[in-house]
Amino acid sequence: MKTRRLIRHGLKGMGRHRLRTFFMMLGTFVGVLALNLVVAIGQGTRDAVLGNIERMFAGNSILLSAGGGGMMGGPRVEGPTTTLIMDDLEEILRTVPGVTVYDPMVMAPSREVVYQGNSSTVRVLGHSENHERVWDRGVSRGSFFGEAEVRSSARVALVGETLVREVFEGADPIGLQLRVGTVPFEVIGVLDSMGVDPHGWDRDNEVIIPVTTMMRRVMNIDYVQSAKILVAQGDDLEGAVQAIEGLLRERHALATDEPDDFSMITPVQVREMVGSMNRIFTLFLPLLAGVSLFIGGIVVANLMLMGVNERRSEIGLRKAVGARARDIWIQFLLESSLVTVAGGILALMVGAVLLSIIAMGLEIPSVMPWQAATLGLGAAVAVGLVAGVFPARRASALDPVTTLRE
Amino acid sequence: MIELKQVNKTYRKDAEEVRALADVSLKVEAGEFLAVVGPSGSGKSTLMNVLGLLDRPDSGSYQLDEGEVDAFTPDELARLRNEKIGFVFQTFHLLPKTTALENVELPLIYSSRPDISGLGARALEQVGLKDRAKHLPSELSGGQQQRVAIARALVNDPELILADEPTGNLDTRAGLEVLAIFQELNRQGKTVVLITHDAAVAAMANRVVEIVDGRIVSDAPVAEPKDAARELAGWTGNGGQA
Repeated sequence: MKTRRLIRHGLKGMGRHRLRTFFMMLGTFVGVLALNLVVAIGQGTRDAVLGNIERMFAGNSILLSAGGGGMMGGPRVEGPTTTLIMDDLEEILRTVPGVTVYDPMVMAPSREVVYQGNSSTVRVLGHSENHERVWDRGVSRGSFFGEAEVRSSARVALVGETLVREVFEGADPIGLQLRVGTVPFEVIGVLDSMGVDPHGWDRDNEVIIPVTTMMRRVMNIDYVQSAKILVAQGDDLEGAVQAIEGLLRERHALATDEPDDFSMITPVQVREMVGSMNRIFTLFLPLLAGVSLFIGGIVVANLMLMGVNERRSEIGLRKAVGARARDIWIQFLLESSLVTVAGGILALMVGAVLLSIIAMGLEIPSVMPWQAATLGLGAAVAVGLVAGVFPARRASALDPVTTLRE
Repeated sequence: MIELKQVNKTYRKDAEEVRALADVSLKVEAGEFLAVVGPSGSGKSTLMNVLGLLDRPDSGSYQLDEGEVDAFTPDELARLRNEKIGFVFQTFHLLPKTTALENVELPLIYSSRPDISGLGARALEQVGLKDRAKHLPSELSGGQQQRVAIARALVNDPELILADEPTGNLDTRAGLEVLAIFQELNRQGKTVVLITHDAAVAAMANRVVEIVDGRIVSDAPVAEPKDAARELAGWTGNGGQA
């Protein structure tokens, strides 16, 4: 009975300090929104990224790149990147135990493609006929090129869905002529759709052509940039890596004091990378959002303290007419938590709208997970309580004798 | 019934010790209208805070209705303030942006009474402000604001009304109106303790206690208390306004 009176009275009181209530709400709103978005987007992105990585490094594989130094997060490539050639790869397949298949890659990040006056800038990749098996990406329509096309440097191309949409205007492109730079190609297949990869590439805005054609007719080079090498399940991956290193050093005639002019990543390293990425998503980003929530909490606490100071004589009066210290405490805690919960709910609603917009734009699966919603609301309540406790305690400890005289 | 025995209260103000109450003994019977007079700093307000259970004496005994106040917990004191005492202050202490009725109902929020409906309106009616229930304090005159404050003091039907310079911020006419209300409440049986430095105000009480430097220097009944309502009727209103 009495508590209900207190709550009703507290609700009415909030309307009397509209400006302060508004800013307290804003403080929580920003914090909860940030937390909410970060957790939801982080989760969506992580799922997408991990999915892609799983696909890239399924099984026992080694990613071999031209150029020494680190890759993906390490220092940038050092030394010549023109020394890795097809014969190296062929020799690896022939001599290194366990190696079952490889797929070379030569990439041109942006090339103009033209079809009947429609042009677009796309990424062009040269691969071998093994690409489908090694990278687990085939065609949804038409067919992949085979060994014969690779051997003969045939001018055949596989195109991504974005190209089909934008350059061929939705028409079935199979059998049509596509010009890459100045070289005409016949489209023989449409690539499986992959969406946007972790680096922000639209994997559907790609053209894949035989690697030999890429080297001779498009790039005019005699080396490859990288290759993915599969090692039979159960075979010694580290041993294979060492054997490849020895073989390449010998073939490239590197002196003992010279660094490698190539680099390799294995699933072991990738797993470590994924681990640290996971830490970013599950620890660092929420921590960042937590900081904004913390600042929101400080804003709320400060405004509450200001409120307590402004209302000293009100508090004294309430005590004089019979409020116990606990009643004052409850009143202020109620005010702070109601305001922050309201701010939190508002943030969740705005967050849900923003997330669906972002999800549409980035093509990541980021519908608001219930964890993010619960976390957001819980955080709002926590901010309200934590930020309210100190001011409320201060309010309840005020001495009516002095406050009434002011 | 109120009885103070040998009550002492000392404040430390900066490095200086101020003896606000020195061996004060005072007995107030139910139904009395007592005025406490004295110069500022004499200890009047401290006396009111002690009587009103807002402050505890350093030593001595305070019996309120046969109970020794010193034995009560802070929560019990809050309940006693809520049920037995109504405060009226010089500066009214109304909540701004809060209607007259809601101000009057404030003590009821902290009351354990099961049914509080209608009590606020009745108290406002007692002070003649029934038609001002929805007004904010800023829309009321000083006299009306103080009458709202008196209604707040009355709303829980306390036995004792403690008023600290209730007419200090009012003009003569509004002051007389407020005093007339106190006299009427006293006639209805409420004990009224009124603190003032104004001899004309003290003349409305049945008994005047004078306090100087924390000590009671005189305590005498008033032979013929002035009637505020009659004064008000005969008052011509030179320069004053309600």
